[in-house]
Amino acid sequence: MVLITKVNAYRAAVVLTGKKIRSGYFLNILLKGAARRGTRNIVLTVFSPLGSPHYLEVLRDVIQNNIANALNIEFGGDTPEDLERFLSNEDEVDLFLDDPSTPFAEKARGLGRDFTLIPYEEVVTHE
Amino acid sequence: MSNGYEVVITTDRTMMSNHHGKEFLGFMATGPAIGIPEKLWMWIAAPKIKVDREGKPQQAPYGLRKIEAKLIDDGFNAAIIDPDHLDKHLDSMRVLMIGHHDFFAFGPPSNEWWMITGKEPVNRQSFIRFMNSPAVRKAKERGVKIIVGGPAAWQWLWELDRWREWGVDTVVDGEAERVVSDLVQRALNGDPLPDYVYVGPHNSPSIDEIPVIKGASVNGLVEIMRGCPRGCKFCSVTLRPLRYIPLEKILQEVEVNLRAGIESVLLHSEDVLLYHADGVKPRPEPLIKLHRELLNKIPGVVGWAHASLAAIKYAEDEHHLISKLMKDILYPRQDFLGVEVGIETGSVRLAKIIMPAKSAPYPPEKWPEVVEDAFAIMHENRIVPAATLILGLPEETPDDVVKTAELIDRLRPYRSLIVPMFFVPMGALKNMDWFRRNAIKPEHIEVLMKTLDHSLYWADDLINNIYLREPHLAPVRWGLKLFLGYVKRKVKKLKPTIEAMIEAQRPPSETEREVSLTT
Repeated sequence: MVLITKVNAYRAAVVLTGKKIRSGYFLNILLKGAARRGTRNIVLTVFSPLGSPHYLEVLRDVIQNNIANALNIEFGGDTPEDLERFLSNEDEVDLFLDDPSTPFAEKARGLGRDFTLIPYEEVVTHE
Repeated sequence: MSNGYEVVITTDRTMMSNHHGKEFLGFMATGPAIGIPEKLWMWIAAPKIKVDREGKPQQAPYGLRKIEAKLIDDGFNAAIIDPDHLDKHLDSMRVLMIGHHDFFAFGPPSNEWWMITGKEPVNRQSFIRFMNSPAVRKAKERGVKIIVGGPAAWQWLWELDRWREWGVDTVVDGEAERVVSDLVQRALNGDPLPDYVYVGPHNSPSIDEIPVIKGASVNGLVEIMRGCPRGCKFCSVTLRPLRYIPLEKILQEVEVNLRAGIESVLLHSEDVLLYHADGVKPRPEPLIKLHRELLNKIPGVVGWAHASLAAIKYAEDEHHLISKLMKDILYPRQDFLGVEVGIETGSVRLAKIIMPAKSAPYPPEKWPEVVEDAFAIMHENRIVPAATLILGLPEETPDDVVKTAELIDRLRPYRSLIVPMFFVPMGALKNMDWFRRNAIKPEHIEVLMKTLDHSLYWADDLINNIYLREPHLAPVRWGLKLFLGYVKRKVKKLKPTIEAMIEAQRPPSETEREVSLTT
């Protein structure tokens, strides 16, 4: 049986530039997206200058706190051009970014694509 | 003989072994070699397995057998190959699939032995050596896709540098029967592969989708069910749907093992006694039928992987089922049975938080009583448990650990091994010294000493009279006794120091505080 498919899954793309994202928040959004689509399968395409598989360090808590949904995580590329190519060919994908000021965000805006910002945890240093 | 296999399934030596026919010996691979040379340690824990001319092992880990069976059923040219014989298939190999229970020793009890001794366990060392071996490196250089998976798949998330260095293509976490063929086909087609696949519980295979193994499993292990209804917080298996493997399918797999010369059976389940149970209440008929049918088929003995203490107590109290199975059905073929059980904690308070249904159908308030009663039942019926405790959970208080220590004292009369599992947060593995200094409390050390004392007390009896009686296992007995002798000497030497350390760290009693105030 072919299980991993983009037909029966909620599809999301995320740009991870290395910030420590709020995992609980992001997981919640993914679960809600899947529920809206009536599925418990999630295909997540990641774009990150961290490269594969190191972007998984940012997603570790998302992965390990997910219990009920199937997750299929693939690496889309490490450059804004990779994201641009992907978005040009894929319409039904929710896009998430951790930073609205990066070239990745510019590419998305250039294509007229909406995206959701994932909050990240501030790192506070005391001097 | 084939011209080589396109899809090669394998694992490292600590897994690809039958452990001298005694699977509990395999647990030695979760520790570092101490007190005896590492070669001897590895020989005791994980000796090489017999292979054929193609390097196919006579016995292989059951999980790998399921993957192999699924791929063969779906038409792939796939086989399990011993790790020392991968080079025979380098020309044909296009996909290398690697499974393991504990790739990097981040799981219990490996992480605990690592924490206590400061030395990497042999299973980690063995796996790293395997991945760096010439055959695996050559395979990667030739463009072979590497897919890894198993219960410890999550550990790769903490070894991303090695993941990249070794060129692993995909990590699969979960019951893989419904995804593995698709992944392999993609790999063979040269299509992009996902980095990480987590198989959700809703995608667990149905009974019909679970294949029958094609080759023998280590020590005749066959599963009788998947999933568990108890819902303990620390357990991932409970998240999966409950499925009972039909008796016909179990017997088919026993037949496969018999054809390979494996005469005994090891029943795998999270709780053997819950096979076709009424919720969490064991039912005699399916279990009696299962055991009778097995004994009709095999010349050897029956083993159990796991059972729950609550099910043991209920089965005996309500149905005299334990004594019936041991005395009327399994005897005289065998006069003992080993099984893993979970005590986890002696604290009712903690039990209610982390495992409220572990004691069911008894209430969690009765948990310590359930444990003691079950141990007594097992002792009387020559069932030898290897029992686990969990220490260091975030919800734990010092009083919880004291209650556990008190329970261990009460279990002294019952033949058993008690093994503490320490909850070691992943971050701590990067800084063991800090963890040892700050997270290990005096009451933990007290429990560790008690479990060691208990297990050493029963170890000689178990080695000589129960577990390793067979004459051909004399060298293994000798090696183990060497190791136990070392441990006993070490403990005797260190005990006064450890006891003083525990006493020094204990907060003063009220009387001591009063005296201190008045002087």
